[in-house]
Amino acid sequence: MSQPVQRAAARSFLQKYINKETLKYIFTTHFWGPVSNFGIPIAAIYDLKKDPTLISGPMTFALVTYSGVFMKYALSVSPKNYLLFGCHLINETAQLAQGYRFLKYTYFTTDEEKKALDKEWKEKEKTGKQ
Amino acid sequence: MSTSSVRFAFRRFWQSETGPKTVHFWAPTLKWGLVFAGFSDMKRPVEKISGAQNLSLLSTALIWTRWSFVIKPRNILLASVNSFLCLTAGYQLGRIANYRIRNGDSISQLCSYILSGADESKKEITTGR
Repeated sequence: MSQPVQRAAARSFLQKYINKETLKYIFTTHFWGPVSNFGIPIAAIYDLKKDPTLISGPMTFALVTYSGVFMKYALSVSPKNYLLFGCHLINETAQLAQGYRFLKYTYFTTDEEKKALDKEWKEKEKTGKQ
Repeated sequence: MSTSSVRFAFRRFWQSETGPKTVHFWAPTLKWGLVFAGFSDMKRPVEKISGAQNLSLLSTALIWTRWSFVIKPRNILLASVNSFLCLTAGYQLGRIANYRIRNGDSISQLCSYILSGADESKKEITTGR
């Protein structure tokens, strides 16, 4: 393939993906709104590795409900916002896992088991092991 | 105000394409649940607050407050709920920062505590780094 043709092919490839519409989308809150929302499931995934007493029951319940409705909302707006939908799908999954851990620790663990768990987490904090 | 105009206003609200029969109404409304949950968290002991969660809520609330004014039409309800979410999450982060710095943490240790919890922060202290 001759050089001019290669250069032309490269240029058309770039033009296909880097055009005014794409740049406009990337630099607006229509993109950064959903992207910033990813911070919530990422934080929840971080928290899955932490002491279950850190989990706030009311906040977890609120986030589960909120993400469920926003998945529907993301598909109702025009145009459909699949980025927002994906974000809330991940968050829904992460928050349900947190909710399970919260309920298990709070309601389905005996007092003796709680003491053992608390002691275990304190030990981990002291030694820095995970 | 006559009963017919009251009835008309309600029918208009009920039939609206962003009214309570649609998800466009309930999505912002349910976000208030995050604000009230944040309020109830203020009663929790400071060492049991999740720094990572509040940091993510703060950042998303800031951006969505801005977003609510960008969309057409402007959604003041969504802007207000995100503003309050910003206040509650910011307050919680302030509690954590105050608590950790009063216990002798440096700024970098505070940041790692917020992101990773107690483990990493304590690990740094015990190893003398």
